[in-house]
Amino acid sequence: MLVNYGSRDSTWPAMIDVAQRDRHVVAVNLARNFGKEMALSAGLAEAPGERVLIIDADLQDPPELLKPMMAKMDGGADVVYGLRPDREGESWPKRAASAAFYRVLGWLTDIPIAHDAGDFRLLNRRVVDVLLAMPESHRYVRGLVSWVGMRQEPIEYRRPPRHAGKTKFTPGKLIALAFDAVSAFSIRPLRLASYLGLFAGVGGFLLLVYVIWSWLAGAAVQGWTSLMVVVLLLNSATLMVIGIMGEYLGRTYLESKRRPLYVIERVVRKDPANVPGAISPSAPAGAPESRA
Amino acid sequence: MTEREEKTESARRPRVSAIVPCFNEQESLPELHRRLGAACAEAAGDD
Repeated sequence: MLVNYGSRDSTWPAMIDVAQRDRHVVAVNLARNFGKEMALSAGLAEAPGERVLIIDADLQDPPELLKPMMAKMDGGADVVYGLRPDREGESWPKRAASAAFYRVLGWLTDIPIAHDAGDFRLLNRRVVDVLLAMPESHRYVRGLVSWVGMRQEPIEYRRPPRHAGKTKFTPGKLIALAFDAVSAFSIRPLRLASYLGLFAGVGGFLLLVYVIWSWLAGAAVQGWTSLMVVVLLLNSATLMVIGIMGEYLGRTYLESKRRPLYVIERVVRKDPANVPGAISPSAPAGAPESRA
Repeated sequence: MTEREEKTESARRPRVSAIVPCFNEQESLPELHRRLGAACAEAAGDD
């Protein structure tokens, strides 16, 4: 099942072509670029298989691993996730940042999120059904799969450099994804904010006591500098707290809208009943599917 | 669903589905189709 989400080149026409020729291929077109996580969610909802494989289009994850992954699942695993021992073709800063990200994420959340694992996964039907039952709007599929738990087993492989095309994950997007991942699974940042606020409050109070005592004792009056330092510290702590609280308030607001996650524009598959190669949309034109 | 209905449900399901999110992937598509199709056929037969 190929899910197109807002490609600007001729990806969609190429997908229609393949879908009409090969009955195994279903092409799904989202109405616009809803993001990769939403494209995955749409695919999960539409895919009929007993088991579902999530794989990137750039072939950095080898499809040939499907057979051993199926074997692992036959052995009782509910999720088989791909584990990359090293990252060829990725720059050093990205590798270091990624390792740091997963370490911090692991510390901030309580669920075991395997570092060095990407989206490459084989999922059992019941795991898919649990995922589909989750109405969460901010989707971080990797993390949600870990959250589900059940029996998850890794399969190791080497990841060659990209076959074609450029990476979609700019540093900005990676940072945004990091924020999404953390706030989806942890309230520890909020707790940190509270501790920080508490610390600043206590520290400020102690400092105040000291200042008054030294004034009473007739010692030299604290200079302008130390006053400024205190003001700055307290203000930055306040700002940090407001920022973190804002993150959660924002999520609560968006979540409460119950907006559909994505809109499927049409589905194309080879229709054996009609003329071979005809396009059979899943809904009449003008009534696009949407899913809440 | 009764047990019989459930069994018929899963009998209709293909053994495996592969989901591939695609964004500007026209260059990879032919190779992707070839390799993924082969991998699925090898792993699950002609579902």
